[in-house]
Amino acid sequence: MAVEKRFKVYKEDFANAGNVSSQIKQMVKDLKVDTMVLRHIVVACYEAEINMIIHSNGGEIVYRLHDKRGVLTLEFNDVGPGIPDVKKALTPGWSSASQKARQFGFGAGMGLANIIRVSDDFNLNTSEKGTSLKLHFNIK
Amino acid sequence: MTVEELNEELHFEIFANKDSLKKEISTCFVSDLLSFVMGYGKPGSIWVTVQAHMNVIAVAVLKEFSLIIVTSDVKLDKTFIDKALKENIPLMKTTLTSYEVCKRLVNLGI
Repeated sequence: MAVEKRFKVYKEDFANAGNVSSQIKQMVKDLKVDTMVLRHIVVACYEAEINMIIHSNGGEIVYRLHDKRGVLTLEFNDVGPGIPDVKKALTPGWSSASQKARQFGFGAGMGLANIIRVSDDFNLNTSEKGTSLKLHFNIK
Repeated sequence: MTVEELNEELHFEIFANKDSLKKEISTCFVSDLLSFVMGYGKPGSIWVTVQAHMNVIAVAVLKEFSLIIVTSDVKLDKTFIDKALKENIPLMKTTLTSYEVCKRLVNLGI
């Protein structure tokens, strides 16, 4: 049986950017996982959370701990508008971030690259209805 | 070197809780792009930047940085300073550019 917790994320909510990642960081810290694994989870979670805030119409982050299997799953599910060109989006340095986002230092185009680098498994599905990013981390 | 010891050398304007002055400094990272900082910053770092908004504090907390130095005389508003104090991240402010700050840090062995 998995332990599950859900968090809402809102479009362009820059004031609260990182709050969900901070909460998830504390939850993972309490599991006493390896320090490097914790840091990887934090980087991936933050980048994905920021992507939702910058690029989506909002959505939900799902934390799911499969304790017996030693796997943590993080799901980032939004309600649109989808990623028009996934290949471009996965290209380091490429970004469709708004001017507002860039003023805050976002939009370097490194988010997905960072996520892929630190996750043990990565799955991305997208359409106009929304995007679902699923990440797996081996925590034991 | 601790934040306190560094402050004795740099004499920048500083905003910090007493206990956060004891934070050890491991290295330095210079960037104004948050994804680069998230991807490559190391725990215990000094973060040198011109960015001075709440997301900077969030990143510094998540990456376990020891200090943020905001350069080029960028204004720090009260909410930013209060957030840094609440999250126990020391802040320094200077009129020097990021390049000039880095030169000083290198000369101090960081």
